[in-house]
Amino acid sequence: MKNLIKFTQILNRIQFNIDRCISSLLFNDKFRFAYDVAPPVQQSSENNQLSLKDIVNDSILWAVPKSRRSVERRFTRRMRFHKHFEHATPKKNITPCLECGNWMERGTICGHCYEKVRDETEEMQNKIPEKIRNFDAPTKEIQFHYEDDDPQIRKENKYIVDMKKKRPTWFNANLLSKGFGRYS
Amino acid sequence: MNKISFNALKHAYRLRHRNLKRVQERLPTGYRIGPRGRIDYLRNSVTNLFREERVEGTWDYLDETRGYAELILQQSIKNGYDHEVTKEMVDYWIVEKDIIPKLFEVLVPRFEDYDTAYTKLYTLPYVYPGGPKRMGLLELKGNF
Repeated sequence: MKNLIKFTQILNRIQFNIDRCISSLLFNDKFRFAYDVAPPVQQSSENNQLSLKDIVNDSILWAVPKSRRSVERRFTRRMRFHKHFEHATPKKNITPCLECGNWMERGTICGHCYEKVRDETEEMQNKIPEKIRNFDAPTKEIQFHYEDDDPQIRKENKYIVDMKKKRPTWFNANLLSKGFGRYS
Repeated sequence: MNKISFNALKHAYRLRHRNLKRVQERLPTGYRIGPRGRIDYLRNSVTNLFREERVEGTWDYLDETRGYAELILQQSIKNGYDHEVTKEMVDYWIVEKDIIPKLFEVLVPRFEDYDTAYTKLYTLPYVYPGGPKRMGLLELKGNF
């Protein structure tokens, strides 16, 4: 960076001196030229002086290929997978969901089934009053009680939310009981 | 059967944390950027998980929260409330303080006998045409 600045300074100085010499020759009182043409108009400073910006933008070449691209590299860029064929390859991981029959991708959740679950959870969470849900979380387990359920399942040591509707078929009441395995 | 207590997490995790570079752009209230901003974001994410017990979002960000959430649960199950280090950790990581009693009175008894991880991270379906971002679903087990 320092060298660049010095370079510009040297250029400026050279240019200034040349201009001065020429102007002194042309416009000196001792030497008078007879010419009909008007004296040269002072050009704008932008064209005369080389600023650092001009040098950096115009005179110096920055990003330039160092060597010729080989045929192999050219072909791999144009004809191979990256940036071309990712969307053109067929998806082989599409399977039908075992519950609803809609198509889904293996490794993901079925969108159709999850829509139902998401809507139901929104309803359930909206039944809890907003202040308790957002600012004052209950210190007991929350239990959602549907109309079909056994009234004996309601327990006192739980925060009970009354859902005034029938239990959806996919949300079985048997899930509420603890299993015997390690995934309980 | 004797319980063997592990200190390691019980799910697959990366060896290095992810740099969450877009954290500041996400909210107009403005998280800080950098490592401190990342932790600010993750703190809020973890408290949200403990409150709602199911969170949708970007899969990579949820993967980061999963590690911290599981660690907090594991430490609080192992040590309980009277342990100084867990108290500090829980106090820092849970931003909204009404969830701290929920942690120790609801979640710890629920997860005491678990051999497996306490959370599960699913991938949500890809919406055409898709892109580099995939959406995920992080859930505490036994949240019905």
